[in-house]
Amino acid sequence: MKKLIVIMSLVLLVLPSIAFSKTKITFLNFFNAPELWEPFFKKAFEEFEKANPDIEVEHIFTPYGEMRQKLITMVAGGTPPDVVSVPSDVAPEYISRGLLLPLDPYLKKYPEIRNKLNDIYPSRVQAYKVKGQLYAFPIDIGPDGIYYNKDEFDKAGLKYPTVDWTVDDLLNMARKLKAVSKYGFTFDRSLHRLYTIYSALGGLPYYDTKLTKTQFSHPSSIKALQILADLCREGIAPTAAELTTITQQAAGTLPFAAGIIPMQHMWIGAISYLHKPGVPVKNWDTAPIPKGVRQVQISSGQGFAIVKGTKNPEAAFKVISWFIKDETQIAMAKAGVWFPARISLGPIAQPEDKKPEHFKETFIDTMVKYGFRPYWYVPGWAEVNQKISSVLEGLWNGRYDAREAARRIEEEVKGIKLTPIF
Amino acid sequence: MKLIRKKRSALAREEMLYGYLIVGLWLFGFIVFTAGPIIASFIFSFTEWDSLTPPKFIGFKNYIDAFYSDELFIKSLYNTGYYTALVVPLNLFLIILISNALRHDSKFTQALRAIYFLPSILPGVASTLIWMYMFNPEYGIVNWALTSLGLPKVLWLQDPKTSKITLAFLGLWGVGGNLPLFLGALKGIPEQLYEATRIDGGGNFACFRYITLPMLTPIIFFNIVTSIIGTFQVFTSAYIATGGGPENSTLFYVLHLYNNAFSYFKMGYASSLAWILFLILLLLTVLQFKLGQYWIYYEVE
Repeated sequence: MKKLIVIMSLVLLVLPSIAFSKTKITFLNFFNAPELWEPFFKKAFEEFEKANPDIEVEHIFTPYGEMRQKLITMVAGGTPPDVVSVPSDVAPEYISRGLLLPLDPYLKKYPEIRNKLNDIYPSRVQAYKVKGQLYAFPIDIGPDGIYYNKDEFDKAGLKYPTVDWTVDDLLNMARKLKAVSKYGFTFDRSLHRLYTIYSALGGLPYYDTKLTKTQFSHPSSIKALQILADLCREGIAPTAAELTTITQQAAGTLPFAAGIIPMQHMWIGAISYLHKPGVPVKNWDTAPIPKGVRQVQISSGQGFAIVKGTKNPEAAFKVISWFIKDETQIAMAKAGVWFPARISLGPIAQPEDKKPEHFKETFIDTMVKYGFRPYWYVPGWAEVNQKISSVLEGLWNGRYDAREAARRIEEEVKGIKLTPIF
Repeated sequence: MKLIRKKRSALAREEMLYGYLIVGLWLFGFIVFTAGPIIASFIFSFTEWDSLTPPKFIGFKNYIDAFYSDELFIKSLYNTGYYTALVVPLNLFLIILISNALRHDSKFTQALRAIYFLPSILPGVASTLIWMYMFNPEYGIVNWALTSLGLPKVLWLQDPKTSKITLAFLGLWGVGGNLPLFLGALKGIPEQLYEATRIDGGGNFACFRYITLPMLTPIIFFNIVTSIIGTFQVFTSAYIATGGGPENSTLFYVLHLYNNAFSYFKMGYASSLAWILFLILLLLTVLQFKLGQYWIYYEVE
């Protein structure tokens, strides 16, 4: 009898905790601007937990630069997160190593979420699709544009860039802006974003389609690189060394926002920097990457994925779905956190003050018309990227010309094998 | 004669047990957090492992690739050797100078000792960020001082020719860390030796050259050994200030190891780099011990 009472008591003690135990989901993502992102995510998770009382979300926020280390350490340590944000340039690494679960079974189960894929920019979907399976749901977009300071343009007596402007227009404007400013223009030096300007100037894709060799040695690629290198040589654009100095000088904001450079090639996320209080530059707008030999709009951004090994894939998918629905995407856009990956919601992301005025033409239309997912973002690319970037740094610093840079690039990367997976 | 094993008394056994229990905690920590990872990294160094999928045994391929296929391995070794060759002698020179100047007690020297020691306990990241701004070619205080003296601006961290030297300056910022050690060693030198030297007509230089330096040789040796081990593992300043650039001029060995482990998904290869570093440091340390017999003076001799 005594034994029975003890057993019953234990069952009564344990049962409620089982009945009311929540499914815990760890969500790992990065931040660039914690003052913007943290409140938004906190609110989003609170609302999710209210709507899903059986799920509790533990949010792990990490700086962008430490995301990879954090994820590797968690996975290798046997405590992987359930959901992870996956930037499009590293998605192939994670997918090829079997880190992510295919989302297709869950998309079949939740057609209302699957249908939203039709509203996502095709190049964003392609970034996470391997052999027909989707491994992450695109959440945002990160296209490029040219930001220009209207006051500096007025000083130089220049007309503002139009939607149909060309690379020759850009180069001429940059030269004329140098007369009123220390520099006329600068371009993004990361290989990821350099590609848009480089393509417009005639540069070929970084690798051939079979990923056997780089294409920097092609005459049109050398010409494109030399044009950019000449901008640095002539002092129209800062050298790599000067750009580092200027970026430090900008002290937490961007050189364009600090008024140091009148025209800058940047990603869509720069808009939030320009809306921070106290930013010197007030009168500005954006223009699409100018028309040239080849129009490309780099498909970048992040997607949310379920990590293999999760004990609760269903609950993990529910968390991801929360960020795909209209209300969350709209709230995200209005908070200035990210720009929705949903085409129909794109224009909503334009800030309330309608700056930039040509937001849609610069970022949305170009994503629809020219969105491109680099096919060389495959396992091995991270190492290749580092080697090419260090050679190009020497080019931007005027240590050699584009032909020599192309030769050095081929030399540096010849031993590294890229594994096609798309 | 038969050897009789003495049976331990109950008290002795109890004491032995307590001894193992006390040591056991440390031993457990050592096995789990130090020895275990060391053995694991040794095993992984013979594998192709990306940290995310099971490792694949590849024998000595990682070690062969380091020497024959990885140009950045040689570059990073060169950069690290250059940095070590700059920092270790300068560090030693400065610490001897500073400790000798501050050896005599007074309120003034006590305050100075604290001032010199402080940088060694400041967080590395914070110090690096401060120095980055100080060495900013356009707006940094260092170039401002140079231009005030009519000298040209230097690009410092932005120029491959000066980037390592600049990081070496950062490395010397914590020179006061060894001050307590050197001050203690100086205080241990018998005063009679200096008196004898003065009686024989020796001045300050003679005291320093024939008494102070020889008596300091054991601590100098310790400083050299630990400095070389420390400088070969330089990471924070390069990671924060330059990321290995410009043009890989500050790509130090441990930074290259880190990139392979966490950016290129080559944890197996990174493990082999760690063991190569260990072997290099082991060889250097053994060499120093062997050479030490020719110049280290131990008081008992």
